[in-house]
Amino acid sequence: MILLPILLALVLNTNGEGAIPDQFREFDEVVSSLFVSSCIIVITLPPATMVRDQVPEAYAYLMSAAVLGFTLPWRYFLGWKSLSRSYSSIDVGSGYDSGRLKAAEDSICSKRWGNEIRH
Amino acid sequence: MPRDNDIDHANANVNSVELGNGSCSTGIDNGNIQQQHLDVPILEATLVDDTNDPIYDATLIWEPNSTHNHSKAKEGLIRTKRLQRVVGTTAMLLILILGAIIGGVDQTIDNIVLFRVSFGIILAIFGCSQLFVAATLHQNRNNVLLELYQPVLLALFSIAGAMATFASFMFALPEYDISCALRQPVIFTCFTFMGNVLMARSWTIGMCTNPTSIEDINLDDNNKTTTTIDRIRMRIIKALSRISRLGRLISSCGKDKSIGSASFTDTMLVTLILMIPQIILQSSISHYQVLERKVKKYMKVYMYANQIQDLLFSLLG
Repeated sequence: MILLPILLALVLNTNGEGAIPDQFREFDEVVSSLFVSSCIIVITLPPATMVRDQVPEAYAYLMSAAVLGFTLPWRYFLGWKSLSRSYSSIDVGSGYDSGRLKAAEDSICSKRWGNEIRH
Repeated sequence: MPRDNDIDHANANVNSVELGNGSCSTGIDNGNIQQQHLDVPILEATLVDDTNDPIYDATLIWEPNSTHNHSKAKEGLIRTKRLQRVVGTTAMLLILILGAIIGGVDQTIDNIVLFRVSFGIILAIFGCSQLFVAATLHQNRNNVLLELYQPVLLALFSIAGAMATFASFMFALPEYDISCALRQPVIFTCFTFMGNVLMARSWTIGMCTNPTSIEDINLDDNNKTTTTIDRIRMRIIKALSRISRLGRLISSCGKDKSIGSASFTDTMLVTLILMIPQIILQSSISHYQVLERKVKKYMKVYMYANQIQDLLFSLLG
């Protein structure tokens, strides 16, 4: 039930050749975050079920790690990456991408215009 | 363009110096030149020789290595970056220390409190980072490039993630019935909401870019150019459009029957309607658990009553 909307979203994001224009796709981001989430869930859920009755603290820790492993990759790949991409492209004044920012700063700062009138 | 050395060796005087603000263009991002109006100091100077004839006039914009010409934007940027680094490093160190504390916890009452505090702080750090992303997305929702990513929906997506993170603290409180009853519905509903938001965003983009082809396409027509996956996608998008129309009809009390493009309200209606099955499922499971517990309780009372009755009968008879 939980995975159904996510899988349908994945189907909607696949590239096609038909009538739906394949623009603004986030297929790679969705797949990457699903991969990371599934890896973390595979690691955390079996030990969580094993230690459930013996050590409730470890169970709580592992279950919350599974929840975090599901939400944080989504947040990073979809929210944070979109944000930083738009920052680095437009908002030079408060950008996050240091490499691009440096290049943009250099292009602003080191420009000198001069007109030679007479030698 | 003459080099600086030419000016240094020239026997010249500076005739006029003008200081002001100006704008400049910055060539950034995939070769698209963008005009950026920056409040930068501009020094305009003209060099003249002994007979007052101009030799060279120059415009100097914002010396890069000068400590005096830092603009507000650059200072703000440096401060933000430093703050981010400090906050990020502190949070990582704190998580490591708290993880080590949690690892060393054994089952005494004091240590359980310690575990809960450490665990709560770790979850709060992650939850707050997600809320920060949501706030930043909402703050920059009018950013031209970010508009393509539908920032408000992404902010809601991030808030749902933060809610799931905070709700997972209830795993650390197993002795309370309310935490046991609530943790699964809250977390699963948040996960479903995140998936539905992803689906609704894709649908909105599909509708905004090409609404007529999606509405008018005939799915029964076995066109060889469309693949199976494409047909499945079309069916999903058409189903979502119908849900949107239904949502619009319900929200307008049966008046609005028009087919519109996918606005933010339509997207939210689709998301909320898709949430209904999950909410029903979770609430029914919770009610079942409560009911089961009540039945067990009554069964226990019934058993005690039977035992007392047997005891009385044995005493009497």
